[in-house]
Amino acid sequence: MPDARRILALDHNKRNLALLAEFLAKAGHTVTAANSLPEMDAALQGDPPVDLALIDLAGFDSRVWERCDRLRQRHIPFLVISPQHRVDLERASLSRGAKGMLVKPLSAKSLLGLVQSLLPA
Amino acid sequence: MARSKSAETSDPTHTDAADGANHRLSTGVTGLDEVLDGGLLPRSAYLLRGGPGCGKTTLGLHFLTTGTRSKERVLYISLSEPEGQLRRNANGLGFNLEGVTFLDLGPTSEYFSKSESYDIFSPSEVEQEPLTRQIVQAVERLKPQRVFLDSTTQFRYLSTDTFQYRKQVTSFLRFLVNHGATVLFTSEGTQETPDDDLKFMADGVIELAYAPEGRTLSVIKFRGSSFLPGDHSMRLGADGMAVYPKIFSTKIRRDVEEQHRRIVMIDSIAGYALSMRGRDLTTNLHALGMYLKSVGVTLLLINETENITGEFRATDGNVSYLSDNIVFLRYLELDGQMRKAIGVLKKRAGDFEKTLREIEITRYGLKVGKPLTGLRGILGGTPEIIGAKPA
Repeated sequence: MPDARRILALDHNKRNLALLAEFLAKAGHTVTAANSLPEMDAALQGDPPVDLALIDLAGFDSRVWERCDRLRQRHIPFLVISPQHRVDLERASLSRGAKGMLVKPLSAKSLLGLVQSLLPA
Repeated sequence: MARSKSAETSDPTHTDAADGANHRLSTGVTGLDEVLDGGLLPRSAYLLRGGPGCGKTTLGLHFLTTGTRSKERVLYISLSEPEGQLRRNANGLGFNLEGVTFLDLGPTSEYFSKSESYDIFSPSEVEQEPLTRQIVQAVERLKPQRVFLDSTTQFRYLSTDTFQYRKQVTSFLRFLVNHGATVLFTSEGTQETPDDDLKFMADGVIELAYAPEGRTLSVIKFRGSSFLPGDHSMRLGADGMAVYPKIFSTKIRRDVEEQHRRIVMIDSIAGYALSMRGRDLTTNLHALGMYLKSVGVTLLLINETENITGEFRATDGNVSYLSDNIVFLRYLELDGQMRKAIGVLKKRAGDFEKTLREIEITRYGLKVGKPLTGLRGILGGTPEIIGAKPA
């Protein structure tokens, strides 16, 4: 197995989080699952650093944008996941440095491809 | 017959017994094997279609329990009804489910109470794999000879698109058949989710319907075998399902077409009614009569009247309207003797003699006498000579 990349997954829905973590782990990644913003903060303190973050916006208020800003400051690439396609959310995400916005339900195959392309070589 | 599940899975001896070239598997339903020309061909997949309450599950239970009686390994895959409920219902209908292995893949009640819902991936991405894994494991462990799958409609919601769905169902059926199973799978075809595609995948299609006139069963496809076409009457009772094949009308039709018959005589309507086991005689006879007329065949219907003498009735069971011509034979008591008379009651397009004539059965055949005139009350069976003084 190639050297495992650390992926941070933030999701308010526990089942979503578990499925996402299970799926990425099966693809050979090390996943840190965060169910809340404080959990995400703690994960970002950890060592070794996170290589990529997946942020599911559902269930979070505007404080989630502060975390996005923090990820950009640290040069951690991230994808935003949204329950529906909304132009305002997409614009806000991209302006905060998101590599893109994905709309649920995600296609497992394209998610994996996207994750691979965003992970630093 | 006390057999544990483990005992039967470790018995490989009868796998080969079921593989004979002309071997047929009984469905366990009275009359259905007759419709299927002896039963189902093994190692094939059959689609069982019908709306709710049409008897799909009951037929499936017949199919499986018939297998367990001959010590076959059988598997019930349920994607909707929970095992406990199925067992209760089956016991209520008198099915012995000993030896039937259940694979309950329906959602558990915890699914709702724990609100384990998700939206990150579509259900097809999440549920399909564990479902497939469970089925594959069960099939490879048990190597069932009969599989009842209730119902494939659930699979449809687990597929990303129609193409995937068809591909999955086809490969799944092939997987089961390759493992030695004869498969009966159900589907509820509705307007929102038509299931016509399944008909093409199946080796045979059995349709169940529940119309106001009664329940019917029809076979619309059976690869590699003939079958009795048409809607056959079906009953769901306290002891399960029974099918009443339209055997006579089908046989008559076949014989007329193959042997180019010109005249068909049914002797008698009462016997024909008996073979129909209480189903709608008039409708059946009507259809048969219309068919024979359309192909230019004359039909003679013998209708035995119940009364030797007494009040005259043209026919029993209101079948007189079916015929173009009615000839009747009648006993009469004359001078203390039993005598016979013949008369015409109805003749389409033409005149006929209105009087009755005496007939005799002689060694040279039937002998028709002179018109019986000068009598009254002949139809009542006890005629009097007109002009004679009452005793």
